[in-house]
Amino acid sequence: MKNNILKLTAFLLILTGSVSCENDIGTYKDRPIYTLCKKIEGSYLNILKLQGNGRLFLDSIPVKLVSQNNVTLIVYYPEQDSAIFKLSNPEAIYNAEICNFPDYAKHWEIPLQGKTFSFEGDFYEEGRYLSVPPYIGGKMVLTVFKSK
Amino acid sequence: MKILIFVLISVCTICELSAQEFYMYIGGQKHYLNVAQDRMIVKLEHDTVNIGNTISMYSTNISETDQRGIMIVEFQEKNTVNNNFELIDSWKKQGVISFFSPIYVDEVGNNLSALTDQVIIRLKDNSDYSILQKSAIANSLEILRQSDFDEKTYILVNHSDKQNALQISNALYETGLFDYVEPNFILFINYSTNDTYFPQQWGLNNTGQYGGASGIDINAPEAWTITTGSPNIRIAILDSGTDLTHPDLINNLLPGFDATGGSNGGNQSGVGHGTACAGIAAAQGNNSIGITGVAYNCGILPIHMGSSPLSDRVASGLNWATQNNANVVSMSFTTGETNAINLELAEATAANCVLVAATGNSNLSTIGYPASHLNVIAVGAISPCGQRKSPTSCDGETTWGSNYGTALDVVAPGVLIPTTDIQGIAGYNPNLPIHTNNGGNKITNDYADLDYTVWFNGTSAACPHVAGIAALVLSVNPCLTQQEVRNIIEMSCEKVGSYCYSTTAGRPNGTWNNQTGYGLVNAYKAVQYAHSTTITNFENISGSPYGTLSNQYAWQVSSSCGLAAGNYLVKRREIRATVSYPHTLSPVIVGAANGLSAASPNNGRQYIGTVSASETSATVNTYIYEVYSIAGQYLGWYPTTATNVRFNFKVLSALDTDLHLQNQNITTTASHAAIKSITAEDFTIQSGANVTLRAGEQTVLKHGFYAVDGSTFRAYIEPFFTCEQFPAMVAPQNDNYQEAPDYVIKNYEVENTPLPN
Repeated sequence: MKNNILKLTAFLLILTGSVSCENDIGTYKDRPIYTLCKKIEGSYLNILKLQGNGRLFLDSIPVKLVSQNNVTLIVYYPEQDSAIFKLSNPEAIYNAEICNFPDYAKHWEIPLQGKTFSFEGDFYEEGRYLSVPPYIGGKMVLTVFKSK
Repeated sequence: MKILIFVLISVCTICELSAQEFYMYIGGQKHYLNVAQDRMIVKLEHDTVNIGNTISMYSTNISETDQRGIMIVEFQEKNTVNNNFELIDSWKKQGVISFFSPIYVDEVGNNLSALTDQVIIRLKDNSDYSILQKSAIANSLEILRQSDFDEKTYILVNHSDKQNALQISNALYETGLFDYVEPNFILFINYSTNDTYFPQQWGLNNTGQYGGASGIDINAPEAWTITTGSPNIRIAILDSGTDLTHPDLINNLLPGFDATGGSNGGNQSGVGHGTACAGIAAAQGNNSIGITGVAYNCGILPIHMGSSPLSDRVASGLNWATQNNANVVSMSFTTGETNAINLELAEATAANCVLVAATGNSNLSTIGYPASHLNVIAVGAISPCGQRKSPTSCDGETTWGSNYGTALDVVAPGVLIPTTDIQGIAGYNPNLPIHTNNGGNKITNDYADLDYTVWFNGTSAACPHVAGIAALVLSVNPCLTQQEVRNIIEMSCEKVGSYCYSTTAGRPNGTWNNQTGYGLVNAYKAVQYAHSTTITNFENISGSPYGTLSNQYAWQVSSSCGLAAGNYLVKRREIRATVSYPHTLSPVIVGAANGLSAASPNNGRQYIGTVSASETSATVNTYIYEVYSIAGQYLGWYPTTATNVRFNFKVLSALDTDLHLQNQNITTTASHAAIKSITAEDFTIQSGANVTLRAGEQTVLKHGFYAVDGSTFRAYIEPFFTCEQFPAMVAPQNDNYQEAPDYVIKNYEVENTPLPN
């Protein structure tokens, strides 16, 4: 009985995922990223490979998520046509401007509670506040960005 | 560490110390005194040499000795004052010490007071003086003098070898003959503030919080006896912005700047880092809330760089700080080196701004930028035990270490640091998940007051400690250049930890090592050195053996540079050097030698002592040791041979703030200076003698001032450290003051007001 419930749940999750998943347009593997992120060249300290899941918001982050740990967020500001990446975990708090936020994502319908996405990307660290954990600032280059 | 106020202490007869009830009478009621069982004070008969040997043999720790040879002896585990009574008494009988006393403590063990050899007696009536005389004789007391403040009160010296001052006081009070009788105590003045979380601020005053080592701190309360900071001195916090309405910061905040291109005036935008750094440097002190900043009356210039210290924001913020007359810039971040930032660092330096930055938290032997820049003081972090902060240091935080290496300048407290936080739920508190790696095994909960956090960590926390000290130094003497401030901070460091500090090329301000730089910054010494008006350098001065080789005695080495830990037999050799210099008021020797102190092989490395220092010459000393194994095998001289001893030091002219000259009979030439005032009392200048007094604000000639015909007396009103040149005021020469009344020479009044005839 218990196994059947788990199987059903897994099937529904897969089904849900496949319905909401975008096509392979969500990958950047064929794009010359530095044409979108020219400012990065030269002045960064480290490149950090990041990946995971997060939630996309329009214009603002719900207050309850502002200080939460273990959370990955992107906020897109349509008026400025800019996007901010924020990742917080016990080791560090990352903040970055995304220099290649994809056009296709700008047209997604984004509910108030946010739209779930998966991503991979290179975080170009430009500076960090030296607390423990540190606040790390820089530019984010997305290499994979898909809705879930 | 605390400052001792010694109340007219002098050589004492034996003070019996054994298990007994300790109490005194206050207002006719018995008040019981708690006695510290792990420490006491002693007064040396001669110098530190003999006591050092004796104590090292018995595995005790001794504190820094004050100028009068008084020090605190701390007994290690399982030893107590009572079961060491025989040992202490033997020191007395051997003539090693002239005096000892228990230390009375409060409920939590803080030092409150200790006995001297003096007793204070107040008569019930002036006519009772004969009773006082008889009681004095009967109890081996000598009437020393009448109180300056109350004609019924007398100070007496105890010559009894059977009763100490407390016992005699109680016995005399219990006769009912006197209004009160009490010991003339040494008071341990604790210059703490009334702020709520000050007791947890180990970085300012380490009393052993979090299992740390008492005294491993920046000596802030001691520095505050000289200055708590001037509002005219401005510390720029180049950071994530500061909470502009925080109640513990608001009174020190000045208009700030938004380096992100916005117009938020330096306010925070959700990241608590800048608010935390601002609090460490200059949160308001003694306002009964929160924490105390290092320079708690200095101004704060908040600069907002948002969540990321990007290079363009750093350059913009530095530029604004320079344009807005920042005296100090605190930079608790690392960023990529750019030409624009280098240019702004150069501009700030040229504008005499002290630049301070954090080294990084990666436990690496390289230091981040801008801390690595030559114009910037690179600050690493230490643990409460005086170690470089590392994953294995005593604080229990295992995930990070302070970066070190050739560019490291100094270290400061950088872990478990209470400070200000963005008000309410934003910032560090109560976002506990962010603190998963914080607190180590020492702290589990943040403060209930969300406007503060108990555990700000990182070299980010160390940096504003040093920025605060720089501001204190400039508060004392705003005329100093940024390089002079840096020299003072580096010269005044304490050589903490088991590291081998040594003379190093390119490191002119004392001995240095790559783990802790010049050592732990010391605010008290720094503000003392800020009084300095002249500096004479002596480098690679050789010395000569002085006196005879000591008898052989046992040494226990727990950590050292080159000598393996273990037990040894040693003989000690003193090495001295004498130098001359241009006329220097109140000279202070600052420096190092490649010898050890007389006290112990485990501390006092690079020791230099001042045997004597006159206005024109000084004799310094250090010690080397002839070392044998316990089996008697000769192992050589340690740490070096006599011919290889070298002294490197500076002679500073360190002025007192207020100078009281009393009971002096001047027959030749004398000169004195004080930053604020000089008071001369019972002071006679004989014919042919020449006395010059220089005071910043006033010279007071009190009763007993006497300048006879043929003497020369000059009083200069010389405002020190105003960065402006005032003409010196010269009092008429050869005036003859006969028991002059109190007479005040104030700025510019000397010429206008005739001196008394």
